[in-house]
Amino acid sequence: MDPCKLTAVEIARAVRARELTAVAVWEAFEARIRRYNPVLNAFLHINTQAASEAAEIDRRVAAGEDPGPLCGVPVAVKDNIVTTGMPTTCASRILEGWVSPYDATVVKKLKAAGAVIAGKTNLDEFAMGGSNENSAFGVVRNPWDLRVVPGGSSGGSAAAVAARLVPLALGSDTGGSVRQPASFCNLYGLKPTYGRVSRSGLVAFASSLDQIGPLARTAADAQLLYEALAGHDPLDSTSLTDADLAVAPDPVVRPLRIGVVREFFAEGLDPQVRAVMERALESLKAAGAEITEVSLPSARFGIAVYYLLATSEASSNLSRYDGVRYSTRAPDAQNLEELYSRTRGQGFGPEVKRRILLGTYALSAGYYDAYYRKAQQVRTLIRREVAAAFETCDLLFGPTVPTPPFAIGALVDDPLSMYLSDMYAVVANLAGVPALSVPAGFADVGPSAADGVTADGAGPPPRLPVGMQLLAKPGHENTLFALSRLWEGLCPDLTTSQATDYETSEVTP
Amino acid sequence: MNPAVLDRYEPVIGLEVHAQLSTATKMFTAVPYRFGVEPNTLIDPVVLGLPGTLPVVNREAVAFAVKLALAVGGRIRNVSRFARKHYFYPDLPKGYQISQYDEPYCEGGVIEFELPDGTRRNVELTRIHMEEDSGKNMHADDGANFSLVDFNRAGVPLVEIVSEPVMHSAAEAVGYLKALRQILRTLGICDGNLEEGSMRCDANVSIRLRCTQKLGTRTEMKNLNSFKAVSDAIEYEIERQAAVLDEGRGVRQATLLWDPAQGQTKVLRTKEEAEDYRYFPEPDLPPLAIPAEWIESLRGQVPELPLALKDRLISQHQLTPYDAEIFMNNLEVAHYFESCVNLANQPGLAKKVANWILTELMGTFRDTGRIPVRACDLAALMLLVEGGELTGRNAKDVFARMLAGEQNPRELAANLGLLGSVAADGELEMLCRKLIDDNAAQVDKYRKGKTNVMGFFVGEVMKATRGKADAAAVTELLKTLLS
Repeated sequence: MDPCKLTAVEIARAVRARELTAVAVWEAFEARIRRYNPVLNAFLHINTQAASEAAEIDRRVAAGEDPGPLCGVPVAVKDNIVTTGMPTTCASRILEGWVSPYDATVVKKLKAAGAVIAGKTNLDEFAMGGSNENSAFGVVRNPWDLRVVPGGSSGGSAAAVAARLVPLALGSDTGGSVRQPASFCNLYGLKPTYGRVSRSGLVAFASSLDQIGPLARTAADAQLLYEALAGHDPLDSTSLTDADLAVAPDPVVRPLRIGVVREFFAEGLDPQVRAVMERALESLKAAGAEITEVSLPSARFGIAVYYLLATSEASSNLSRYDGVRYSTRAPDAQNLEELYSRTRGQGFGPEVKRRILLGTYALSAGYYDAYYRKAQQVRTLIRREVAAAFETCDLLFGPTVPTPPFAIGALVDDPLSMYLSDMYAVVANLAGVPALSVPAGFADVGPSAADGVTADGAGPPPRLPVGMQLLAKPGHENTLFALSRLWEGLCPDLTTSQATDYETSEVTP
Repeated sequence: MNPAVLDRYEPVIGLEVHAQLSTATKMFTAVPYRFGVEPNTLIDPVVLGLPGTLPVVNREAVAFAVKLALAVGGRIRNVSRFARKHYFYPDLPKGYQISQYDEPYCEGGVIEFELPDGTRRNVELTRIHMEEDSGKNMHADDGANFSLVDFNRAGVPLVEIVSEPVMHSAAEAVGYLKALRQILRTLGICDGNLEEGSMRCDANVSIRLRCTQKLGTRTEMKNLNSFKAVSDAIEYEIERQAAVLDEGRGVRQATLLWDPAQGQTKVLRTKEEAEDYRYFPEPDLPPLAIPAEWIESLRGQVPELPLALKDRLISQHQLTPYDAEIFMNNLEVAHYFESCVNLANQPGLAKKVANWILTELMGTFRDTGRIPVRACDLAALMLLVEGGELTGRNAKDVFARMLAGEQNPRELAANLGLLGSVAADGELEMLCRKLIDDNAAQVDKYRKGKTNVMGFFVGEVMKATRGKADAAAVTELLKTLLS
């Protein structure tokens, strides 16, 4: 039995049943990581303690204990989530070499659930980007096509799960950073209800939008990891108590009412993605779901609102990287001013600088009302419109991303187009509701010739994943998982689709 | 202060006071704080602003802040908000300070105080808000190419109390400050130590021609870490601004640093150089809800304010304003005084208890900061004297033993053989008669008009009764017998 072909649910069961040892599981995945990571660049750090953590799981199982729901399952952690014993870089030079003295709450929860921490995964610097090209430590490649981006910012986590270097990974989602790479890598990617998963130990990008979420190849795996993460944390004042959330009704008792968001099918949607969405809706309708159309009129302002609020908060959150207490300090500063400007000038990459500048501007005296305050007002409108839509629907539906995955390098000089990749995803962050990207199908061809990549037969098949996005009411993650189970029954081929195994020799970067 | 300046100009002063709340732990994390501890030992990941850390509001700090609001009669917002105030400085770990901005937890309120001449003033407050303290930069000797930072103080809870610009002299400013400190101490929420920085004051000063209403351009002075500095700096600044206006120039809006050694201010930054703090609501903290029931339960914990105490000591216990003020400034002693009076529970005794405390106990309290005698013991002692069982003179001897740690004055006095008056029985008269018979020469002197011989007789009686006799009664008796 090759552990790398099992789901997380199967691994946990097998290790608990002593059909597999956690050590054997880890050794199989570690071998795969060592073999493919040089190509994919998904991991920035492999946990050197993983084997002994796995051995401890085996010892506990042998002693008759239950180490928890993730018993012996290797889980990769996005490198903007702090871990003791391993560096946390946020894929930024400014944090290179820094090791946190404390574990993020989600990391403590993973350990408490019996998981084996596989290592830290690559990302866009400080989670700012949608392609993983903004990492200070190199681009990540999409296992479905090495010429294509894996999405971002949780690109390393998505590539690792898609290539079966781990069964599960943590991502973080501020404006689509779990769902967009899930869409690009044919995975389930969940952005939980804001406040459902603790942010303590998640290096802040935009505090009012950030949520940690799972990336998995099956809905059941995503749910398994999500349930291990969710819950109130006294260290995070924005985390919700169970009492804060209404208990979700059992979604199986009646046909799911799915509202198709009109604004998610407007201008800018790639025809191939549209076609995949239409086929998916037909299948769901045939399976008994009630399909209606809903409108979120303010959703068209989502990107503008998101990039004002996220950059404002980022400009504040990233103030602490000053070279005084930690982080890489620029040498030879002659005075305090130079210490700051050189440390930050040398330590941050161009996209991070761009966002700090944008956010600083939006919060400046004289501009605050026109930008930050106005954006907050529109955010309130979006939140209300989403809540109103849920009065008649259980789920909202649309594509996760307007386009199929694009080629590495295609958008690096066009940040605005890159930002538009998040146009459907940001709505859930702004509204605080849970959203799941579900593998929905494939675009027939890869990136267009105009992007410089052709399906000339030299590479893998020009077939790239497309995800559909479902939004639910706050706290109703289980409705998303219920729909996913229904969907998996309809389209079993999608979840069994695997990214091709790549040999290092095939890659010509 | 040149009085001619004040003839022409009216100073207008507002104060911003930062007070450290003496909570068990810091504003947003469970780390304690003490002054003067080894640098960087009272820290944790939150204090240092490490990546991924989040603030959690200290409930005790909010309770302290609410008590202050209640004590000064401010309006407490049911829902207030924390905000981030941004600037770069090495002692500010996150690059922003968590403070409150346009939705502070308290608005309005008033502080009443007395000037040294006894006149009373009310100073209205603009607002009070909560925030966190910064660390401290420590600059090495001149020539060193580095500075050090101590983050022990970082994250200590502060309240900032902002007064309206309604004071008109340095004396008023100092009176206000002293009253505010007294209130903070009475509430037990801040030790008010200006030198150690647990209470810090910035003064906004402007002047205007008398008979005009429009406020002049103000300057803000920092580093006023004593009452003298507050007073000196304000007077200096009033004169400086007057000189500027007298020359026909305008005062430039600026932040100034007071140099107590030179006795002058220097410009820290001008209005043009003022920082844009880019305030925005703190996204890591939900709006701060302060439920009405909690406010009400805290109201029950707000003690009587100093000036109210003073007024009550005068009206209820007939103390002099002078004595009442001493008690007001030494709250522990005031509470002790009232305990004694309550325990003695005898009408008319309060003034005597007050006198006793102020003359016999205050010195020890000032020297040691402690009151070594139990209130019930002092009450018992006062009752022995009041009941005629112990003379005032002997009570002092008993009290000396009590100061040394002994308890139960009745037993003490009995053991010393001082208890019980001899004035009531015939014993005293017999003693006096024997004395007169045995000392014919002295009697003769007295009768010839040398009345100071009386001292000799009284002394002999006291010796013979081991002090139990009442000296006044003995004198009266002797006078009768000798005449």
